[in-house]
Amino acid sequence: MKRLLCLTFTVLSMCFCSLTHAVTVEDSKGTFTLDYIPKRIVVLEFSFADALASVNVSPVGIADDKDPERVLKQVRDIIGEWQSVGTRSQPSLEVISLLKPDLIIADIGRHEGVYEDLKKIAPTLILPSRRETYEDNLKAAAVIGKVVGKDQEMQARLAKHKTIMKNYATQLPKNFNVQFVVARADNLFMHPANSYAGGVIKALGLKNPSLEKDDKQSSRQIGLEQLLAINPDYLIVGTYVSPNIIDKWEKEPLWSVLKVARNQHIFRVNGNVWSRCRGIMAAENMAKDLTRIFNQ
Amino acid sequence: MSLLKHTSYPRQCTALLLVLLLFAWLSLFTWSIIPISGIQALMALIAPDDDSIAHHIVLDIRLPRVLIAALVGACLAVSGAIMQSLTQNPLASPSVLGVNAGAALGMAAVSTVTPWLGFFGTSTAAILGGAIAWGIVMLLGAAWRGGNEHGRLVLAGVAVSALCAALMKAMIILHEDQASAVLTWLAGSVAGASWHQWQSFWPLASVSLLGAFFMSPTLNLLNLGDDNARSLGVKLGWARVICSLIVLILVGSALSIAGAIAFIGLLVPHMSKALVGQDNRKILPLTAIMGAVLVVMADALSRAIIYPMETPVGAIVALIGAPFFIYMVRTRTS
Repeated sequence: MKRLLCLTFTVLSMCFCSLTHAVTVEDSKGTFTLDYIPKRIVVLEFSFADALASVNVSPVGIADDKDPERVLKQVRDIIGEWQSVGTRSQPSLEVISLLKPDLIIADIGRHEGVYEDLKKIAPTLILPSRRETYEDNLKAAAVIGKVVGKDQEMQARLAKHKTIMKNYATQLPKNFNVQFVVARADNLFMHPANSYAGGVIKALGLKNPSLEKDDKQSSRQIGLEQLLAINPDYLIVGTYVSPNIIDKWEKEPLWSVLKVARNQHIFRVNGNVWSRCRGIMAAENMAKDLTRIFNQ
Repeated sequence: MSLLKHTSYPRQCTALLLVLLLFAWLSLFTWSIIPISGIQALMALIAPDDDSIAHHIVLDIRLPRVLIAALVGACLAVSGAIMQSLTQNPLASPSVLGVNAGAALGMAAVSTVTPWLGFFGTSTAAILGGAIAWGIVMLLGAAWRGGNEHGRLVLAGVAVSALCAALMKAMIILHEDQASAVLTWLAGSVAGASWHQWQSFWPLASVSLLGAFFMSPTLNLLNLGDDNARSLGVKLGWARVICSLIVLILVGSALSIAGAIAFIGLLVPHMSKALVGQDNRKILPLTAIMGAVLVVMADALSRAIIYPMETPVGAIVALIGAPFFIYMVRTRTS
């Protein structure tokens, strides 16, 4: 009888253990613990939506700047419908609390100021997103995988991502200087080696020119003179508007001095995918863009 | 400064012009990522060589930039001097009386909230915004009464500036994508200068500068107070309308090219008054030269501070301007 009780107790406690899911991870504010699998998740940056979609989890709310098109197409296809919770810079706390989330994933860069308020609504996991590097992004995805109880799936997805990126890298030449810039109407922003795009370019075996040895910025406004100093082999231009500054500069006599202008190595890509989205699937999209550009 | 104070007016002007030329020349070649020597910079002006990158940089980037910086400085400084005479208020300047904030609001409105207003262009929006803000400040501050209403006018300026700034911040927060463009503009920068900009800028700016010099005797009479000016035959209404228009064109064209560079309109007129006294016929040309020197110098420095990247020139002007202004106010009162 005693043995039977003992056995029952062990079996029961094992069952219980598998039901409760207590996970502790390190986020940007220290230790974060969650003892259940979240079902209603609100994310406040696109990169977190990408991470969730990578393991087939759909968030109920996304800070999508009130423009669903800004969420990467592949991500949209996986997660289906969601409720917009406003802009990434000013997410609406009211809408978030109306959604009754059981987990909020926020960005340390943008939402540190409202972190305490977010915590009152639901447990808040705060991770880097804005101005993050490619490596940071993958680490954040791994953390998200653990918290939503899909650690194994996420590890598998990350491994698959590495293979995909390696595959793309074999289709790309080495040792070319590739510079990603975002062209606005009147300003040009370069994304140096430490930026997200710079990290993806590096991961693909290409080089990212740098003006300074230790450029910690994620994007810098530059003029034609600085672009001339960088003088990359390939210029990848992320655009949001047309006409933009590149269209203006193309008329300047100095433009023709640039290597990219002489060799016609200026390629336009979707600025949203390259600069805003950031994430596993976004990086794969960027790699695909580069492969297309280099194999034209 | 003290050396200049005791020399004759033509000598003062010549000396400052030489300083301007020196800084302009330095600005053509210093802190360039592609090394350019001073002689190369001069050669580029005299005998341009189409194959030399250095010559291209000097001629296509640096030269329009220096010219625009100089003219922007002159415009803003002269507009400050006119405003001070016009409102009989030593604190009057485009930034204090709300013109900068209004222009910024106009610019932010066009580039964020109402893209369908795109046909306006940011320059037109900046000029319109500045004009409206200034009009409101003048009405609220009862500027026409002159004399005793100094405090009221500045208060109105501060209030309207604060209102415009608040509205503009709201627009930026709601449309974050455009924030960087608006912020760059707010700080003021001539980094994007091109010949194209120069061509649209200089005719209007130089005509209004000449207009301002032409109006300087009238400004002198306005300084005597309304009654005296009227009895000396000045048509007050007309004089004010014309001066206001000149100020608006000067400020508007400068702002639309270089963004909101503050402080010059406040600082430079006081510097030239310290040199030549209260005669506007002398003040205005000297103010123009000094404004040009200050912005060209600040622009050269703006490239040096975080070389090879650039700092907005407006920040440098404020860095030089604010302590200097405090020093001047202190020496005056003591």
